Amino acid sequence: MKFGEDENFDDSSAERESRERIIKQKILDENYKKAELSIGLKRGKKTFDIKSKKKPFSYLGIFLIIAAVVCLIITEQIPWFYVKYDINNNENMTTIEESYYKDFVNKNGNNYNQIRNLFEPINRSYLIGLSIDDFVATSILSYYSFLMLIFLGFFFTVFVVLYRVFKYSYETMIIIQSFFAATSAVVCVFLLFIFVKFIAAHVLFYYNTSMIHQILLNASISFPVPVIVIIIVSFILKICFVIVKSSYRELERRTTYSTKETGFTYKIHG
Amino acid sequence: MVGKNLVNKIKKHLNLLLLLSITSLILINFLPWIVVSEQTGDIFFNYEMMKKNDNLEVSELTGIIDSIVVLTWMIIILGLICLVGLIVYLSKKFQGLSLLMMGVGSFIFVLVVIVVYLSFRFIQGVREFENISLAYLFTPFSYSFVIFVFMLLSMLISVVVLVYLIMFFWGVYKDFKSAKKKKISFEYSKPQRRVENKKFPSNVIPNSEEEPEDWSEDSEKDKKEEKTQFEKDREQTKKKREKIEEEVKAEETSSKQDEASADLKHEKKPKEEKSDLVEKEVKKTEGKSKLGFHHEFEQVLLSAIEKKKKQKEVSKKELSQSVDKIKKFKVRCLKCKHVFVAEVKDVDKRIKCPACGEEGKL
Repeated sequence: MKFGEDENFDDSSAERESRERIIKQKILDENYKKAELSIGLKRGKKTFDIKSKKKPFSYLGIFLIIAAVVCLIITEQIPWFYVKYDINNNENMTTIEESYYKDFVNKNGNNYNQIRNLFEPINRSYLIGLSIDDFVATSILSYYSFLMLIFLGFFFTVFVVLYRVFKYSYETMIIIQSFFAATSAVVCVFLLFIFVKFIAAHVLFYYNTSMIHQILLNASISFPVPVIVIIIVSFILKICFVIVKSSYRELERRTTYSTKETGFTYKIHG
Repeated sequence: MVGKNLVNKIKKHLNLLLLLSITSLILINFLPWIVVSEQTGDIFFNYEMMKKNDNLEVSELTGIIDSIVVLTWMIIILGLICLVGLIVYLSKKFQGLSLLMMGVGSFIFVLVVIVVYLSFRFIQGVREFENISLAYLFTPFSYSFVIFVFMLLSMLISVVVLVYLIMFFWGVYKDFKSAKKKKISFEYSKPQRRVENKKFPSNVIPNSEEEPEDWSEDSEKDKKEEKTQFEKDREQTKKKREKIEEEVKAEETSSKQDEASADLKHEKKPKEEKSDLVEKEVKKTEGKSKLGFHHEFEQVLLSAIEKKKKQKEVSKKELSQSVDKIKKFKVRCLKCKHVFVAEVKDVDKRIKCPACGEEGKL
C-alpha cells in the first residue's frame, strides 16, 4: 500500500457496485412489466373489466303489475269522455261542460239525451264512429286485459323467486323472461288497438263537423283516459321489446364466448 | 352454430317487420278509409264506423278490412314467435322447438303478400261504387295509400326475412350433416382431440362470474392501445432515469460528505473517481436504443424476459402434466340439474353424476 491511498477504498467501490446493482434491479423490476406488455407476453388489467349481466331483468313482473294497477285506477277515476257545447235557451246561449266516466256514466249517475244523439246513428251512420256500447265494451275489455297483465307480472315474479331458490340455468330464465315479455307485448298491442278508436273519433269529428254541429252547437270533445292509457301502454310495449332485445344480446354474447373458448359438455356452476 | 351475422340480420329485420305491422294495425283503426256522399253531405268513415253501418256496399268493403286486420294480427304474433324462437335457439336449449318457432316465421311472407293483395283490392273495389270514394288527405293522396305503403314495405322486409331464414335453415342442415360426419370419425380422431385439449391447461377453465374477453375481436384495438402506451412508457422511463441519476448523484454527494468528515486526507481522489463514474453514466445514456434504454440495459432486460418466458413455459408444462394435483369444481349435471362437487385430476377424465349416473366431461 502506498502513502495517501485509502485502506477502505476497495470496500467503498464494492458498496457502490452493490448500490448500482440495486438501482439496476429497481429499473428492471419497474420496466419488466411494461416491457412484457409492450412485447405482448401479458395483457393489462383493464382487459378483464367486462361488465356482464348475471341476472335477468327480474323487475319486469313488478313493473307490469304496477303499470296495470295504475291504468286500472286511471280508468276508474279519470273521465273517459269530456264534452263542451252550447244550448240555445230562449235566445240565451249557455255553455255546458260534461265529463263521463267508465261505462258512460255521469257524476250524477245518468247521461243526457242530447249527448246520447252524438253516439247514435244518423242516416244509418255513427258520426264519430263510436256508440255508447263501445264505452262499455272497451271498459270491460281493458279491465280484463289489465288483469291479464297483472297475472303475467305475478307469474313472472314467481318464476324469478323460483329461479333464485332452485337455481335454474340462466338460459332457461332468459327464455321464460322473453316469453312473458312477448305475451305482454301482444296484450299491449291489443289495448292500443281498442283504445285507438277513441283517438280516431277526433279525426272523424274534424271531418264531419258540419253534421255534428247540427246536433251539438259549437261542440268540442276529448277522451282523457284513452290518451293517458295509450301513452302508458306504449311505454310498457317499449319496455317489453327492450327486454326481448337485451335478453337476445346477452344470449348472443354468451353463445359466441362458449363456442370460441370452450367446448365443454358440462358448465361450471357458481 | 349458424353464423352470428345471419342471426343478427334476421333479428333486425324481424324487429322492423313487427314495428311496421303494429303501426299499420293501429293506422287501420285510426285513419278514415272511405267517404260516402249522401243528400246531407259527405261523411267520412273509419273502420269502426264501417263496421256499424248497414249499407251493403260499405259492409262488403268492411269484410276486406276485417281480413286485413286478422292477417296483420297473425303477422304480429308469428313475428313475435319467430323472435322468441331466435332467443331459444341462442340459448342452445329446446333446439327442435326453436327451429319450429323460427320455421313459423317463414309464413309471414305469405300473410304479408295476402294483405298487400287485399289492400290493393280494397282500393280497386272502392272505385266500383258510385256513392263511395277513398278518403283523401289531399286530392292525389288517399289515407288508404298510407296503409298500402306500409304493407308494401313490410312485404319487402318479409322477403328479406324469408331469404335469411332459408339461409339459416340451410346452415343448420349443413351443421347437422357435419356433426353426423364427426360422430362417425370420432373414434379415429380421439387421440388428436386429447392433445388439443391439453393446450388448454386446467387454469383456463373459466368461472361463470369471471368471464374472459373475446380475444380475437379486441386484439386490433389492444395493439393500438399498446402502441400508444409504449410511447407513453418511453417518456416515463426517460423521466425515471433522470430521477434515478439524480438520486445516485445525491447519494454520492452524501457519501462524499461522510467520507470527507471521516478522512480529510483522501478528499480529492474519491471525488475525482465519483465524478468519473457520473460522467460514464451520462456517456452511457447518450447511446440509447430504440426502446429508450441503454444497449446494455436492453440486453439485460431481454435476457431476463427470455428467462421468464422459459420459466413460464416450464411451469405451463408442469401444470398440464401434473396428474397428482386434484382440483375441485362445482358442476351442474345437464340431465338432472343436480349440482355437485367433482374432484378431478385431469380435465379429460369423465365425471359421473352421483344423482342420476350420467357421465360427462368438463
